Amino acid sequence: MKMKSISLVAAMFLSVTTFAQSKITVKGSDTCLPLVQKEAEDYMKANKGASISVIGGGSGVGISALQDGTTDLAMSSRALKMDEKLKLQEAGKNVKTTIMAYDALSVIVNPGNKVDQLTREQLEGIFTGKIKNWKDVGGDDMQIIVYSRETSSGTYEFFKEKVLMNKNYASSALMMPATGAIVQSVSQTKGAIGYVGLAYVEKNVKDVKVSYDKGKTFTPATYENAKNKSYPIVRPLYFFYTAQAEKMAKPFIDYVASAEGQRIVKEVGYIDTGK
Amino acid sequence: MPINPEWLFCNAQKNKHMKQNLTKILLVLTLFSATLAKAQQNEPDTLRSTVAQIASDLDLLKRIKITGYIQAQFQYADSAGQASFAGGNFASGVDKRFMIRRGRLKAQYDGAVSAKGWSLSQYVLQFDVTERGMTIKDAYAKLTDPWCGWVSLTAGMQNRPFGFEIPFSSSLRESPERGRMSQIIFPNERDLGAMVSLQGPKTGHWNWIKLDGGMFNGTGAPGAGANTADFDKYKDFIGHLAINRTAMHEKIKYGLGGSIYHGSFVSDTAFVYTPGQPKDSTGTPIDGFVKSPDKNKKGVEEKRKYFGGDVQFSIDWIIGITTLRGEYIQGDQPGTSKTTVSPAAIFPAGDGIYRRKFNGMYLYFVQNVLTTPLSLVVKYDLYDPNTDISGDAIGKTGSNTSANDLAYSTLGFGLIYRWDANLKIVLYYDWVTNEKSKNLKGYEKDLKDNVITARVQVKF
Repeated sequence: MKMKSISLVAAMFLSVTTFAQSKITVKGSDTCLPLVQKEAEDYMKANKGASISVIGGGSGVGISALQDGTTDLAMSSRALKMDEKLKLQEAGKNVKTTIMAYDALSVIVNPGNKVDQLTREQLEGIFTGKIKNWKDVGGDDMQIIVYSRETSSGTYEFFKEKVLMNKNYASSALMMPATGAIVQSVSQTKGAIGYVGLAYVEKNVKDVKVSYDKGKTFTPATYENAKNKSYPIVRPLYFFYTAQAEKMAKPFIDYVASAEGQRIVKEVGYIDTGK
Repeated sequence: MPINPEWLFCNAQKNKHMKQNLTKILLVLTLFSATLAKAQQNEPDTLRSTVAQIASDLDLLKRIKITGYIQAQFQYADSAGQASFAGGNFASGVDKRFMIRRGRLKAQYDGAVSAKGWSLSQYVLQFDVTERGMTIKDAYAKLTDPWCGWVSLTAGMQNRPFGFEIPFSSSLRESPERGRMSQIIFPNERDLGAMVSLQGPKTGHWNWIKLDGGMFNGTGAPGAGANTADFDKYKDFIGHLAINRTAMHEKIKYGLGGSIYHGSFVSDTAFVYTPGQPKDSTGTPIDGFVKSPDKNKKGVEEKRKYFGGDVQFSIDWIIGITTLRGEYIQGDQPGTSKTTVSPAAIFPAGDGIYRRKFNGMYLYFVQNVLTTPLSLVVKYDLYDPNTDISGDAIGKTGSNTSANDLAYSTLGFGLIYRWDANLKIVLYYDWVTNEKSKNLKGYEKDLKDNVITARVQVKF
């Protein structure tokens, strides 16, 4: 009887502590979203009682949430801006950074578009509005419809810095709130062009080979080309977290960095951090 | 065996009832299925419209922002009853005080966002509530053009667009107070007027450059209980050109600015004193002010002209974020023998106007300690209200100079601890040094006017 009582109490205690395992909120980059969702699902399967909620919205949204304390982990496809660092400092947040994976940024067009390769200069011309017709870059006589992410997106910032050399997007560019929306729009619009993380490329869009040596060599966005650095549009994907949230979030961060977590990175379509 | 007709009849009746009941059951089941199917179809429609309504309501609510902060502090001065720019003069006999230095409540409403992604209007109302009373700090509307997002018009009570320290929020500033010069030439920071700003949208290529230019009353914002309605026909122009950029992949941030103030106010004072060589009792020319020969200089336009340059630099490196800031201002500041503070009302007729040339500057060094919530701050500010005279020449008989012509420097040391996003603790020491003159009673040596400030700021 005594043993039964002890066992019952122990079981209750265990269940309470299991139940009391921390709930982690992860917010931010749409680029990171499919990866972190999959990591979270597998982590929760392996760790009963763990609860991780993953929300997109863009890198800027995640970083803002970190500033105002409404997320434990911010996922981002860009580094922190100086203004953000100063705001986080002002908010008393000691922010730590870790790279969870790398991502190749793929330029996509409609499958019906015969253009399958573009130089960086041509991409700059298209996305800044200087080149308005596909015939100017070897395609059909068809207006170019440019799709871009919104300004809160790290992908938006990275594409602007790396491909447009910090020039302004065309005022006619259609700003989409999520990566999935770009894929859908490009798949449905014959003259459309957009940019998405490699993991988002589906069969209903065509990815374009890119040249950063004025047309001498064109390289497609693939895992192998990103890993061997022959594909030029690759960026790290970050977790930002505060020292205050570290104890709660570290087990999940460590899981993502582990061999199993990096296997998931590759499986979902990103580039693992290993050599 | 013969068949009983009665049994047959009952059976037939039973079957008939059964058939009827079965039909009824089938009918009910069919109706139920149809209702269920329709309900299932209605559910997503209802959910969608509910979510859309909630999203719409949330969008409206997100346009309203209520923010504020309270700065409560304890101060200990070197001596009782001293004049101070560390939060106002100490009352007679008082060398220690608790005070609510600032109690701000700000309401901001952002209007509809244009198709191109920027807010077309903004309305701001901000109050300051302390034990000394309540005043309006901001009451303005800002409108932005919907075509290119470059041009904004701001009208109402707002920060004067001069330099860096004036518009920089007191909740963010590392030292408890602005420099002495800023408090003298721009008391209460705000003024009533209308300003046009040119700055590209945040997503644009030219967002890093900003030009502000506006016309203002020149009297400044009201202090507690004070009325600062304009007292003359002259309006003052204030302009500021600034650039802000980052470099080295967001490791460095820097800014540069240039400012101009071109204004004037009416004076009904009896005499005008201009820098020159008045004669002492022996008839020897000395440095000082020369009194105008004519009395009753009513309606004279007195010029206020300032020119300033400001620079800011921040670097994120191995020891944490280091920030350096500096600003220099010089110009013409008419005052009286009793004050060099910019006037909020017409000067008393009995006194004279003293036309002084001034200059001043401040330097900030702020070091965040690694990524901890701790920061160290060192600030040096200098204000010379009269650059035409210095040292023992001040206060000489016949010079027409006074203590208001003495230069001051303040060296400040501070420690800031950010408890969390809402709470900040500041410990700060102001080491004030005044210019000395053996000819000015009470100023033969440095005044005992240093101040220690311990402040808690709560911000929401």
